[in-house]
Amino acid sequence: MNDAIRHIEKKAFRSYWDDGLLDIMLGLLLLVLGVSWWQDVYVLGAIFPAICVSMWTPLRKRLVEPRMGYVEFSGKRNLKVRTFRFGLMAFFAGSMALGLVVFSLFGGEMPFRASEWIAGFPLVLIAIPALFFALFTSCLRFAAYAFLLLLAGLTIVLMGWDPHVGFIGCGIVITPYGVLILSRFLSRHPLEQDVIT
Amino acid sequence: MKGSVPTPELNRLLHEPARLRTLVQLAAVTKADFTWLLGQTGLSRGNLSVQMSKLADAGMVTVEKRFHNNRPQTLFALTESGRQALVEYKQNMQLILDGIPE
Repeated sequence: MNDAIRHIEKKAFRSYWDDGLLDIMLGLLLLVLGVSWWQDVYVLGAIFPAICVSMWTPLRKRLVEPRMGYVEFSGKRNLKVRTFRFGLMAFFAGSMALGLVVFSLFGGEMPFRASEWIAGFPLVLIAIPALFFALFTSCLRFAAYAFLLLLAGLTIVLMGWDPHVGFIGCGIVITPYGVLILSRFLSRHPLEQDVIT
Repeated sequence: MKGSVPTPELNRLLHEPARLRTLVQLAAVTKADFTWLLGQTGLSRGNLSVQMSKLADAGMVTVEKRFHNNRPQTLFALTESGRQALVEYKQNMQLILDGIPE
């Protein structure tokens, strides 16, 4: 594949994410995690990511694919997608393992005043994959979300707030923006029959 | 003109912006349906339909019709001869462009 074709493929892959569905899911995930943290309903925060994952394919097939169209990317791109997914899972698993190790080693008395910074850590955990997703798909708005999450993490640390404030705040910003992108996508791509004469 | 280099012949089927744009889009992916190509090329439905029929008749793309999620779907893929024609077109066009004086 030469540079021009690679550029077109990259552009096509970026446009694959231009429907706003993932933005809404990210926003709702942040809102639900924040509310579950706030109201101590941790089970809701635990099951909601699984609900998002299971809803993703049916929603995309029903809502997006008939309007955007169907595309099969190259084997090389599919390998990159699988690698990204694996990296994402490894990142979350590694972060959880690291958290458990740190907690079991230090308990409530963290070194280097880490306990003052720990409130911002959950938001950083979501900001990092968002940033990598932005780099992977070239969807720059996800880099903006990552920046927003980092900013929210820093703010709650400096203000001494609980992490749920940052989650809910980011969710309140990202969800309506996702709805805006989705509504724009739906109005620009009316449902039409796929026919060839 | 004596000693002049013959101008390379451009493939007339490809030397049409709509068809060239569509083929380049197909060269970047494995398969794509009519709706996807419509969005990526910005062509009208009628225009794309006509161009795809011409490319299919010339054996440059394969056409696969199926039902996907209870909707009719027409999938297109670039054939090996289509890919080869695209490469040759690029080479010939490059030769012509190189011949243009500065």
